[in-house]
Amino acid sequence: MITEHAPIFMVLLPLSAAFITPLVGLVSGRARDYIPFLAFVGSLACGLTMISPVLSGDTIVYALGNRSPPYGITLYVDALSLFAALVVAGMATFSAVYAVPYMRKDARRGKFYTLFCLQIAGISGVILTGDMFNLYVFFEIMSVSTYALVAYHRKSDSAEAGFKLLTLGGVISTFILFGVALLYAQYQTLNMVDLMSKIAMSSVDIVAMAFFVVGFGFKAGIVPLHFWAADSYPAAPTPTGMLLAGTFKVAGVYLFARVLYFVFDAMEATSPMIATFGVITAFIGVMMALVQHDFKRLLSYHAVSQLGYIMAGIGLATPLGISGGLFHLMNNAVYKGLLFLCAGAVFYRIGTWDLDRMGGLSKKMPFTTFCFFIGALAISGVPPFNGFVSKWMLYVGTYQKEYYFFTVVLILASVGTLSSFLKALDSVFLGQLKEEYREVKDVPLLMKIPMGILAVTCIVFGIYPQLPLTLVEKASSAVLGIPVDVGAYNLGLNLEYAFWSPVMISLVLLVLLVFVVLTLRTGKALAPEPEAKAGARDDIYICGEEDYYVNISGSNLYYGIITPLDRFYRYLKSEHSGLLQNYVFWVVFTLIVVIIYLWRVV
Amino acid sequence: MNVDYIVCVAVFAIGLYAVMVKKNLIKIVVGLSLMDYAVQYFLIATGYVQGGSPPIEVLPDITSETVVMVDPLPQALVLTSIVIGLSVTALALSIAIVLYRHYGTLDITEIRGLRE
Repeated sequence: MITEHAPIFMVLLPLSAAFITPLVGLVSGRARDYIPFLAFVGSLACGLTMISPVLSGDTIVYALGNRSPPYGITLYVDALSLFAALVVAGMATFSAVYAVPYMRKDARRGKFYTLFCLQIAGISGVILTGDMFNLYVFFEIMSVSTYALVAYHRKSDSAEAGFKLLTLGGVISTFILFGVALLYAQYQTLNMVDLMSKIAMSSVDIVAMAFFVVGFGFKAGIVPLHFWAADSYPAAPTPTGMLLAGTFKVAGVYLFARVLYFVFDAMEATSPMIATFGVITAFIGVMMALVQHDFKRLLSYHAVSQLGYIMAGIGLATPLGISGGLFHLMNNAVYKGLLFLCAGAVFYRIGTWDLDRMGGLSKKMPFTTFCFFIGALAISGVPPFNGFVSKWMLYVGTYQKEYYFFTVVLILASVGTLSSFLKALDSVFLGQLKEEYREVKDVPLLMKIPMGILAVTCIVFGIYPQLPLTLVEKASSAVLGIPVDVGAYNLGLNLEYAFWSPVMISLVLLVLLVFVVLTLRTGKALAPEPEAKAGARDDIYICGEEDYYVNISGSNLYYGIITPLDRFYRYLKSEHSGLLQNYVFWVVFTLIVVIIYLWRVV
Repeated sequence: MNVDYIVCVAVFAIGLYAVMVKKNLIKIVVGLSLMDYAVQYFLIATGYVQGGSPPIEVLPDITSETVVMVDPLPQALVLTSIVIGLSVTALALSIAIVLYRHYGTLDITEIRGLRE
């Protein structure tokens, strides 16, 4: 019975948990804290039961109330939606475990759990639904609970971020509803499969499609629509921020693939635009991340940047590109989640997000440091972690499609990511321990468990990528409509141009690591740092000068790169003005650009 | 071109204008609601049939064979959409109250703590 009704249970369990939590909270606050976790585990289990039929090529169409499509409401589960739903349910489970100790100090946390469950119910519904209007309804359930969660702390920054997100999101959801209404007005149907067979690409369809591009792009956070991201992710409570930064991008990207490629069947026309958006996003996101002084804001801009990789992959519309994009989507959810949890762990202990006020925490929080280190290497695309495999698929994919310039930009963005994470690692965990943090301890066990599992996942998916790739290949073949084989075999990947063996590279790296350790052991300690003279950081140093030690604060490590790009940064910062009207302007501007583009190509 | 559709687009544009140009938080919320109403109006207009009867089959002198009914589905959709719009408006206004307590103003151009 469970297998038969598994699709609806994936939505129903979180949804009912949202209303059960306050009731249980009346009896026992502690018991209530575990209910979201149980609901998400149940939802995940329901998803897992659907793996074997979907992998064998079936598409599960679940008709609610036994009303047959196209008239009834349906849930539509193919490999793509199952993949996305599993990523969401899995990450939500980790987030729920982490939330238990993290939120315990908060007396109002009952409301948090209700909203949290609603949010997960909304995103699961968005992913599983096979009906355009239900898509809008679930999208709104997800969005409204997100607005409330962002404003949850009721401080000035969270209220501000919440209001801006709400205004932009409100405009976006009317766009989506308008798109749905335009489709209904023409074809008198809302069922996605039915719509696909009827859509004739009239000029009204183009407008509807542009509304959807802007709407889903906003949810995913592509570049001219990303302004809310850096405000909202830090403002929300960490368990939510972690999901917003990684997992909720799944909804945006999934909807691009589902609605543009499937319902509108417009892969040829829209894919170059999506790839271009992706590359711009990857670049601008990382440039903004380089100048951040706030730990979570830095991570948020990286979340924007990583989304660019995913969109670039989806926009390639080749088997390798889409598999790479979807795999990166999954990896991004994992390591971005891990990094946010680490940031949350630091905040949990020291109570600040300011990079300039941290330092030396590696001695006090070794476990968190280790996890952050793995996450930082994974997001920067360093082998043998999971981020490398998917990024490498994207590099090869862009090269294969002869988008050479995109390959270069993506690699450059990766360099920027690594450098900015070195900065974060340096200012938070390395260096000298500040006096006031002498008594800091590592986080409680219940917070360590999700961090540990995510860190292990980063390594396992990096060394053994064919495990997730079996599902990813099915998902991308559901997008493309042809069987996909990216050449995953037992010990590595064999792409058209290049061969990648994670086991071999891991061995090489291990040998290198041994050498590094040996060198460290035999080397001598450096002389203590001399006092820096005033204004020394403005001087130019080639090498070996007397005043080699210059005290640049940890968060300003890339002073030398940022100063020459002053004009570019001044422009970027003037756009990230905090002015709501400016952000709404960019939404409308993007809409117009997309309409003009689609008009010309369709 | 139907006059309903022109009105919809006009109201939608007025709402968008309010969100883009007005500085007062309350006016922005009003703009959002206007955009919502425009789309709801559009949905109702798509299902309307000139001279159609209400879509209720059990009314005494109406039978589905003889009388043209308006399309009932958009009305159901709009009901859902109104409820969602109401919750968004309520949430927006409550956040606006919190913002006023923190900043002492309802001018959005002065609420710019988060930037860059």
